[in-house]
Amino acid sequence: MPSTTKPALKGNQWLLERVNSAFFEPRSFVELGWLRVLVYATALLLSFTLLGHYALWADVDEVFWQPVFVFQLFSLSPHSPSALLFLLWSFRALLLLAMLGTGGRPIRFAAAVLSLYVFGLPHNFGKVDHGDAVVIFCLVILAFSDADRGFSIRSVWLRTRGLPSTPLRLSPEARWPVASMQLMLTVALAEAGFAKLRTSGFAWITTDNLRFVIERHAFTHQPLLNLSQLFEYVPWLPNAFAGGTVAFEILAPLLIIARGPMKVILLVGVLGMLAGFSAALGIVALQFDLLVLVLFVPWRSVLAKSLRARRWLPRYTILYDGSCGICAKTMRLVGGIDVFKRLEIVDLVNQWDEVTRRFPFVSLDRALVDLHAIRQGESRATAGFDAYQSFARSVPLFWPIWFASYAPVISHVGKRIYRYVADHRHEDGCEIPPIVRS
Amino acid sequence: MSRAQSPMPPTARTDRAEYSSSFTATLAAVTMSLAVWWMTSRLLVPAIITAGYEGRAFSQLNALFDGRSSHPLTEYLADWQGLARQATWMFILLSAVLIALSIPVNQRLIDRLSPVPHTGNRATVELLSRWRKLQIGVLMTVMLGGHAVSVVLGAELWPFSNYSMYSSLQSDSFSMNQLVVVDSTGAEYVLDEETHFLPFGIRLPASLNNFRWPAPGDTVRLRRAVVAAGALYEKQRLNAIHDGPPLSRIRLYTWTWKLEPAPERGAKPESSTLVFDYAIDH
Repeated sequence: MPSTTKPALKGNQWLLERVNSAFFEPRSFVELGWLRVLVYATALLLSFTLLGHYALWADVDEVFWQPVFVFQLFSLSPHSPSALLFLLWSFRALLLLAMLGTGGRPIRFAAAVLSLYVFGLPHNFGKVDHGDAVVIFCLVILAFSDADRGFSIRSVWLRTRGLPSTPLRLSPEARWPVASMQLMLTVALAEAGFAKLRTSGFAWITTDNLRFVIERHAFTHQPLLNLSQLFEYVPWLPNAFAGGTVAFEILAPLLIIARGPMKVILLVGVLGMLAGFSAALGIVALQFDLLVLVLFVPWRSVLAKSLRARRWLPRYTILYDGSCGICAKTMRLVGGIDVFKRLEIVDLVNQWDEVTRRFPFVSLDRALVDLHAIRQGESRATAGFDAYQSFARSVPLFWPIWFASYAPVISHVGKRIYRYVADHRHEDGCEIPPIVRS
Repeated sequence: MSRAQSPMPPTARTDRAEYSSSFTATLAAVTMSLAVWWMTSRLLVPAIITAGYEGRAFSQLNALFDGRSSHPLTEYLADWQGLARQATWMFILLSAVLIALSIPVNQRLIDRLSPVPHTGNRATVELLSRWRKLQIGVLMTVMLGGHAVSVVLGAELWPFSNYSMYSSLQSDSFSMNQLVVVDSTGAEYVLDEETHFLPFGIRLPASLNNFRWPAPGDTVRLRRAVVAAGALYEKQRLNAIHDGPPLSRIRLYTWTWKLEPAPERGAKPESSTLVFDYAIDH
């Protein structure tokens, strides 16, 4: 019989296979559709947070006009306040339409072209902000792609009219835009890292450079943390930060092909680096922060797993005495608090046939004295206070009580209280409604 | 002992129950998280700040409050409250989005819009044509090539860039141009660019630095920029865009700080040089 295992790839072949897989592995258009929504939503959010008072640029004296390359190339300049507002709101409308997946490539192309002017205008007045450029590249890539073939108004419209719609196809067309956007983002970071080494060599890491940069920003920005005094206690810390910054910037492109723990380490490192910029320098690179989160965190999978997270909580079947009023009320309360629906509450008086069939090891006499709890898949029951303690772990609202119940004093007191209530429940219990047999 | 038998098999209402319990679980998780955040932000963190300010915490934390000689505790607590308020609003916004997504009707809509291809769905695999691969190749070559040109030329070719920010070594001193406004009583105010020089914000000091006084060729341009900044300030004050004091004069200083030893946050500059002093005509 011939062997069916793939031969291990060596060196270059392994790298080529990873790159080819990262860029051209057939994927679902639904995934691309989700990313389309998130990227355009990010651009829309940035258009509100970063472009406040946009029309006021028309009033700025031309002495401040220092046009960037694209504006020089196409001889672009500021327009009147009303024209700027018109362009800004048109841009936002195009982003919204593209986000919803309607209008096709013309809408996405228009948004990409307009983004060059709308995002670019403030950079012509003395300071260039590099985050906007990455957003523009993402919009250009999406304009060239088939981003609305899945999870879009257009795909739903085609399906409702019985026209061919392809969200169920797998195609490299759904993968290359994602990898390309990731590449443009990480190339920006890598270039920044190489620029530091190219300009200053390893002195960028080994000298007091970063310490001086952080101290300088205390005067020019509003950093959240003042690390200067901390550096007096840990003098090597700024060098460690500098080394980490350069390392994670240069290694950022590996995020595209990395898998498993390595991907997690790189992602945490890059996000930590960006968070460090905000905390220590007072620089919020909002575009980079959002795009790293959007492009590298699989939100759809995270959301789906979060919604199913309750499955990590074990399931229990609780057997209680349905003839006891206190017990019935208590179980109604427990059922109401069990928001993750991990508890099955069974009245053993009315459902004894089913109980004895499912749990033959349960004794009726014993179960009528103490509440029983049986974990799914086990063939033994816990009773009384121990039963409450066991199923409390599956009800997050009970967690504080669950933790506390393991303290010796609280455990002792709890058992005494349970015993007293259980032994006197028929003396002091309230009237129960008539039993209805099914 | 025999093993317990499995629970009742799922019914036709499983999907609805699944959506409903997901929504309830999301609501519960969001509520609990908000409660934990509220306790942390309103009780725990202020207590930590107070302990650090009063020197009762561990030394590294106490050291973060080195500005206590000029900044009262209330200022630190107010800063934290401002930050916590922003974080709370973002949390509420994200929670609202999450809750909206988990509403059963929306879950059903998302599932209908997001069919997942698998063998049961008779998914087919498309391939890229050579012409399409060429288009993609040209696009990426242009985008990456633009960056490469920028790196080779050492120039900013926005949106292409060599990303050279912070690449130079920072010396142990730094200077910055600072605009100062003077009211009719002669009092000087260092104003927040984010509020009083819209829409420049943080761009204004960088823009003024680009004129690089005392490079003689840019002195005229720098003077004109300072005057223009003053005119912009007054115009926006008169239009009630900000509430700064009426402008009598505008001055440009060059402030210099030594960074070794590390200065206290908010320390006055080591040297202050008046570059321009211009009276505003009303």
